[in-house]
Amino acid sequence: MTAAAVLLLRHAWGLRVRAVPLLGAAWGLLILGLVAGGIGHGAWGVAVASLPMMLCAFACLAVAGWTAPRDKVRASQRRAHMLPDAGEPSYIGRRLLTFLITVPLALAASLALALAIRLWMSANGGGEANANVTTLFLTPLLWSVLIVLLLLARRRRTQWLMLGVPLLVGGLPILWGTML
Amino acid sequence: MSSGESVGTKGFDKATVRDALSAHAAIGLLAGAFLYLICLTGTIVVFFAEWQRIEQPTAPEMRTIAPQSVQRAVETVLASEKGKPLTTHLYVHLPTQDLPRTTITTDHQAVHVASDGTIAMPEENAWSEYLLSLHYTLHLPSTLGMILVGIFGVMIVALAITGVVAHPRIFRDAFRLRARSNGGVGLADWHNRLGVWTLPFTIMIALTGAMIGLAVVTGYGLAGSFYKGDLEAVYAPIFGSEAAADKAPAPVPDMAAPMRYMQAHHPDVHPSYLILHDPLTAGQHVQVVGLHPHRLIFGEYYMFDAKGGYHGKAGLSDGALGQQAAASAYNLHFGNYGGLPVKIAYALFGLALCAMTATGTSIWLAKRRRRGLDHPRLTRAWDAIVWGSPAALMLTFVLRQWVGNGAPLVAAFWGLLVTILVVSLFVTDGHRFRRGLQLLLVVAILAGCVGFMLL
Repeated sequence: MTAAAVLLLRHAWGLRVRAVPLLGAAWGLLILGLVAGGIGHGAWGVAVASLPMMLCAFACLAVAGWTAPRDKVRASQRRAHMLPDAGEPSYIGRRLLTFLITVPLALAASLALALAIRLWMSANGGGEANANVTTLFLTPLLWSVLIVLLLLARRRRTQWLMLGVPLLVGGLPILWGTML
Repeated sequence: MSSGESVGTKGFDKATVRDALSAHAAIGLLAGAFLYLICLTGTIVVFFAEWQRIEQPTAPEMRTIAPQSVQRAVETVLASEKGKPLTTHLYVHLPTQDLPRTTITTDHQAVHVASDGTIAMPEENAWSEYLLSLHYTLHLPSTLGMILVGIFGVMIVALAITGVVAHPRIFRDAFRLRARSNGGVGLADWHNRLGVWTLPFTIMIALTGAMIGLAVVTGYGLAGSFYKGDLEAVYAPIFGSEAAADKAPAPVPDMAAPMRYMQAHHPDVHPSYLILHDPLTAGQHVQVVGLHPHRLIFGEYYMFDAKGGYHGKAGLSDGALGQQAAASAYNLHFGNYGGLPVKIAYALFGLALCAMTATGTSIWLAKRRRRGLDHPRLTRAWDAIVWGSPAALMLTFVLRQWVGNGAPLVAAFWGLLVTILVVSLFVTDGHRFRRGLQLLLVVAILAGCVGFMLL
């Protein structure tokens, strides 16, 4: 079912006009396939049902790659601003501070927030195992999202605010909770 | 990223899209080489069981083993360790579908067992273990290595998010692959299309990997905040707690009784491991890891005392949702929940991840080159990583075949990779250098195949 959904998506996206009903049917079929997998065999069913979707897409891509004509379309020249162009300053200090903010400090902020959520779950009858496992999963997830938000922030002050809020929200309840 | 993808058409404004591309490039370039190595080893290690069978094809194989044979083998192994410090744990790997072997591992040795319970030969899977260790820890001390690999998992999730934000038409163009376009479009299309279609796999693999790798950091955070620094107490509600140790001497426990109990009471559950804790002490107890068909969990722990009396299970199969989720993370990451077809699918998606990582940096280098900012050394060094690391991996496999289980695999791998990187700094013809590395990879693969057939 998920493989059929991919084929339908390919057809719908290939049309000259936006075919909303077809797109809706394709996404619906995809969701239905995953739900059917879940109803039949739980998380295992969902995991297994998602594999044919990706394999079918790979097959479609293989066909697209095989039948692609030779052309000389110019590639995008969007700058990534990772390294300075000739004559531009390197901003080493600024880059190092960004690294410090997005790696160790963002990890600390994410951990603090995840621990605060653990405290909240535990206090609201979420169960010890659920609370601990949620923390284990949340720390890397929150960190990933925080890295993205920090790197998208245009001002350093916004970045400090983004770090400070989770540290404060997370840190204070933990301190309060551990002192009880 | 590819031509024709207008910027800022959907959802995000142009500035956000531009910043997302910068973030995507920054993370990718900083972590690229290690991400590639982790993705590459992860792809190969999907077949961990199969590699072990290739490495030691003469080890006895069986579909099942009788409980009394396991008892006999455990008695023999423990007797052989008289005079040595007592092993803290004894693991019996029972025959499974992908690894139909019985293997006993202690702190001192690992041996294969024949179906009648006699000790057949020492286990020799140094290459498989070295590969697994490279993926898990980059051959660093275990805690540091796992944390580092976990951090790279977080970077992959961040790359996936910034990749989607930076390419507003990424879903609309999901089937557009101009593979034969030169001038960078083909490379960008490969990167973006593989990226979008492996997105669920990428996020799942990265998040489970990051969770496993960063479990130490989060665990210490939990222990420090809620358990007075006791790390074991963090995991006790999830995987069950260890019984109190009693070091008084005791005879060999009954390892057959738990197997018989499982056959009688849980015939649908397939025991994959027997774990004997604190062998030959009064506190010794046995855990059976039982595989549940059509489940993502790595198994359920069934607890027994030294006489084979049943003491309940941990609850990984039917306990709290958190327990089931934690137990599912491992199989979901390693792809061993649906036999060979799922493993093959994982290997394909893993290859796609490798291709994405490799093309990401190449796209950036090519863009700079088109703007007149050529980096020939960096380009060659990237080629050294992309083609040199699989070649070095395969050469260590050949070394393992010809030298044996004691071959210095870790030193050989890093020695080869560093040598290739150093050479990349001094050669002048980048094209010939890349061709040379590709040839080296092909030769290494062929030599590995020949070695497998001859040895």
